[in-house]
Amino acid sequence: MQFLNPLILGALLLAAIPVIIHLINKRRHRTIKWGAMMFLLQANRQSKGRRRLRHILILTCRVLALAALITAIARPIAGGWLGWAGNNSPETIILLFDRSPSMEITDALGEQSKRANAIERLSKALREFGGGAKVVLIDSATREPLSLSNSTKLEELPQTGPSDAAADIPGLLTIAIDYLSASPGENAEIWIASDLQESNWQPQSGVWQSLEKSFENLPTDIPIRVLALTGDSASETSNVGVNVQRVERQGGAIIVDLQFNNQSSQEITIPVTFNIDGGSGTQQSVRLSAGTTTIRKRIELADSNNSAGFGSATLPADPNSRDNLAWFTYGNLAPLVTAVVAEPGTAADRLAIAAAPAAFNSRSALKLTPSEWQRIDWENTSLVIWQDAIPQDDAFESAMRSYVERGGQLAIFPPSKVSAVGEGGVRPSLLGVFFADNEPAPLDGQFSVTDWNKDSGIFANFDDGSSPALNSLFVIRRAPVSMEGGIAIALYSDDVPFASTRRIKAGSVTAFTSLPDDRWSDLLQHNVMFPALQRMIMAGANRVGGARLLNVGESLPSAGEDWKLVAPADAISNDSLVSAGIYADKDEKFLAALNVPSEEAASQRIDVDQVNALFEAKPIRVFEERVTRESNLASPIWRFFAYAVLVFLFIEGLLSLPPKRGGEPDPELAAF
Amino acid sequence: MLGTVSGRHKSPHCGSSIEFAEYRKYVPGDDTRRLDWRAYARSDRFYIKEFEAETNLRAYIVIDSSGSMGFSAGDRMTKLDYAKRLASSLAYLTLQGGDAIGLSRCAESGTVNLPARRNPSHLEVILDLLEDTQAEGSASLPDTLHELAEKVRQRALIIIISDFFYPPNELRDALLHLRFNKHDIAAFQLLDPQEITFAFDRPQRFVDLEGSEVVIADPNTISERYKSALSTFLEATRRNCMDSKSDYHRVLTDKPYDEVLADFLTARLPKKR
Repeated sequence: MQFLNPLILGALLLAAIPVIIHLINKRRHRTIKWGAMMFLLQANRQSKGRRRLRHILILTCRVLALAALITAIARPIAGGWLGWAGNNSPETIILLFDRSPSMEITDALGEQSKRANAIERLSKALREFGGGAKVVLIDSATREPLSLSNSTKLEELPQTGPSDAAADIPGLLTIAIDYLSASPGENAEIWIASDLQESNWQPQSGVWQSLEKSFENLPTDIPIRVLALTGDSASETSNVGVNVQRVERQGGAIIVDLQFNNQSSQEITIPVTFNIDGGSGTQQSVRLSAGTTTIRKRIELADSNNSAGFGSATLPADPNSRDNLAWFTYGNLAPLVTAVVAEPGTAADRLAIAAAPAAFNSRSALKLTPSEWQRIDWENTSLVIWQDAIPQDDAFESAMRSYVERGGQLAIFPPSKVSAVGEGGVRPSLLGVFFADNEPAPLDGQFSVTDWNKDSGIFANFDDGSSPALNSLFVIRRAPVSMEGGIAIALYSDDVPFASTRRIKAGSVTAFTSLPDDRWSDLLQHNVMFPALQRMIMAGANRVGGARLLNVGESLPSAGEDWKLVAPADAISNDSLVSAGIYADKDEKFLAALNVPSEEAASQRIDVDQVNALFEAKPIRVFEERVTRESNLASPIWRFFAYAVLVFLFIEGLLSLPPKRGGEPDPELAAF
Repeated sequence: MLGTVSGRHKSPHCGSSIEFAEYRKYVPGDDTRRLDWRAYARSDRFYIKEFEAETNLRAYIVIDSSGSMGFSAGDRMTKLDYAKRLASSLAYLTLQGGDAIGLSRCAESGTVNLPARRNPSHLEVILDLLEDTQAEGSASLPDTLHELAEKVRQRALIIIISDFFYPPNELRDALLHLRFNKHDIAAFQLLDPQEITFAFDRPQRFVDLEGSEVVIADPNTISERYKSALSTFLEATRRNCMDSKSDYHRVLTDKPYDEVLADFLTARLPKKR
């Protein structure tokens, strides 16, 4: 238990006053010389035990009443956050601070955000109990341990300011464990200030089990305390957030898919302001149902606008300002390039046609032979199509990997050679993809595609609800593919994948098992190959043409290059790990839009029981602090002591009452 | 009473005197001169007249001077002072009546005995002894009574003035001893009103007048038990006196002692038959 006025506890010595008074009174009783002592002694003997017990109880009640009164005046705070924290005066306090956008939700009065509330309470706790303890701050945005001096004010640190990055609580705990492992034997505690947002805590993730093992491996037990800013639901239910899902430039216009998250239970209409390249905005009223609403907005660009640019969608102010602004970038009008690296032949031609039909000015295809792969313009190519044997070349593998990891799209088709085995009998692979020997379909038969992913991916249904006609494909030869870590997105009737895909960092690789060659299939027919490749081109277009769409916290492309903040002018930080906005590379050739992660709009929280269930054996102490204006000092524990005073005094009064006199008078004394 | 001087007290023994006492049947060996012929004429039976013999009163006053007798509450006289007045008054009256009076003082240091004398100057001796008597220490009244019972051969009136704060069974034995030796016993039990009422308004430190006991007691909590114990004791004392056919008087020291004396003497007047 801690006290707000600990000095007053010195007055507990006064609790000895009743005892002292009792002892003094024993000496101060009026003395009377008594003759009838034999009766007095007899009566005294009879009541001695009970009388002594009564005296002891009375004295005890008086002492306890006095002690309880002094304790109440000293304002014990065991019931509040300050009483919960810092019971054991640790040497080191690792403070994991959640400064994700959801922590900017303000209270019902709109005066203080959860983050500000957390700073206030943590500052007070560190002042009260942090004296002598080393404080190490790890915030959810920068994730860098920062040692604080005794004079540091939490509210003045940029590391406790607002940020647009989502919090990864298991990740922060991992960093804390690494820090503690470097300083073994320290008596440390971990404090976590968070709003218990489910997406931040990831309670279903298996990482908690490995975290628990890591804690067990530490030499000392590290208590974990959570200050849960669970917030006032009233303000949260009036919050609306916006997020950009997809951006596509179509000539002189851009198509933006926006997702709105309406936390209220009612349908609302709000004005949304669209802004292009920092100019004056246009406003549009948008009707939102409760929950999530997606709208597609077409924004016309100026006729002279051929270059890449950026824009924003802004909502009116509400309890959380961080999710009211969504940024997007759009590419320039330069055609999107597809590099078709294939052995000369029908397949190569048809693949080039599918990638860049003659009628599409916005598309171009560069045909290269396999030996010319180094001519690929990696930075300006949206899609690389490889159709040949996979060379055993580390440089090739490395270049492809780098391209894909930075957002490029790679489509691999089987070589037309009979055997896919390379030199030395080794089956080469590219990014975990290798083909088996190609096989013909049974005589008078074919391989039929019967199942594919219609909801997402390159074979998803079109906007009008129709689907690519994979089931109409006529495949007479195929080369089964193995893809390490891949998932099949279409299956033949015998459950062999028709196509598999795998995401590698910002990009993805998709492997097909047949060719658009009459000796293999009619892949170019039936509206299958063309939309699939176009979708891959569009996905790859995000990294070219100057436009990228990322979340705050994700690495900007070309790691190591200096990216600078272009917009907004009043960003909370120039750091792309912290602030959403538009960033440009040092050559101002590329733009990237960093947004608040969409999961930050989710209102699901985990409760105290779920927090305690994260670890099997290690307890986590949670203090749930509602963001209200209730005084932090209004801890109920002092009232307990005040009531105790009354109870003790009442009991003391009862015990002090003189016993009832009366009853039958003694016959021998009645005459008197 | 037996004695060599004729006093004013009727003796229970029948002898030759002028006052007729009663008839009894003649038995061979009786003095025929005492035959009542008129009774024979009336009843045709032989009866002897009995007459009351007038003898001297021999009295002994036993005064208890133990520490408890020194108690008094407020401005009242102590029990011992009260006892002294009673004793001195009784001594005077006895000597005035031509009877013999002696005094035994029961004290911690032992019993002091003054023999019974008829001489008027004996009063001064008695008064001197009373004046020197102080209430102190613990004495043993039962022992004094036993000693008196053995020493006084002739039947006497034993007047005991005490608070009788002694074990009832010991007192009973002493009284019965006196009674067995055919003594007449009058017992004055002196009590201070506060010893009865135990009226205190706050805890007191009670110091034993007869010893070193000290008790701090809250009257509120102990009063009932004290009174119960006192009542039990008084009842036992009364019963012991009744069993020993003693003339028992319970006296509160706020009652004028002359009234007590008057009541005592009046009660001892011979009853007319």
